[in-house]
Amino acid sequence: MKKLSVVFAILAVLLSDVMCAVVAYSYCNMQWGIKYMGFSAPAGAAFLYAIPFCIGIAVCAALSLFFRSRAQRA
Amino acid sequence: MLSERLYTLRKKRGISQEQLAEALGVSRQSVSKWESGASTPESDRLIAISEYFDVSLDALLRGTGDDTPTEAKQTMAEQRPSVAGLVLCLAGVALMLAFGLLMLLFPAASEQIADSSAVTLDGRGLILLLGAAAAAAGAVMLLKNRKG
Repeated sequence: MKKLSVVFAILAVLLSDVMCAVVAYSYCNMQWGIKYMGFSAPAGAAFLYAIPFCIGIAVCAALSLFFRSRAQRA
Repeated sequence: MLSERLYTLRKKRGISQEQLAEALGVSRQSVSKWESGASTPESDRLIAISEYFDVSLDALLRGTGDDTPTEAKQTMAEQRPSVAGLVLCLAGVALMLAFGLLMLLFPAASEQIADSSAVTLDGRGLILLLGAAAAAAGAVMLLKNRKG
């Protein structure tokens, strides 16, 4: 249980890192597209990529806390 | 021996011979005789004893079975995380991580995936949402069988 708690905590941190990188890359890509390719969507649309990552981070954090509390009870 | 097992179970439960006798509807002397081996309980009493201590008749009579109370066994089984839920959850998170890295390291490949999507929603978003949905479904499976 303790190991699972640590694994999910690490996954939550990894997901947040990847989320930041993906959103930043997409934001820059959108800005470039708006400037040179005539993209109609605003650059802020890149933040939509954060939604699935936020769900994943929330799930991992919840499971980490759940397994931690169970390990303490055992 | 039955007498020893009966004594051990009673001590484990932390009750007196009077309390056990009252619960089983017999006299204290009967319980004392069972524990000393002077007499053996009748079959209906044995069933009542096994139900009272929540152990199997096999464990009570022969001592070969597992004398862990069935309720405790159920709790232990429920506390074990669901393997399917764990796999689904980890697969969902792995999919998100892998695709996130693919988008950063190989943008061309991610563009191809996006173009191959038959749905109006961007293919990259679909894959990420699929990963999140798998992680959430796995979490639900893991949390569903918790107790207490």
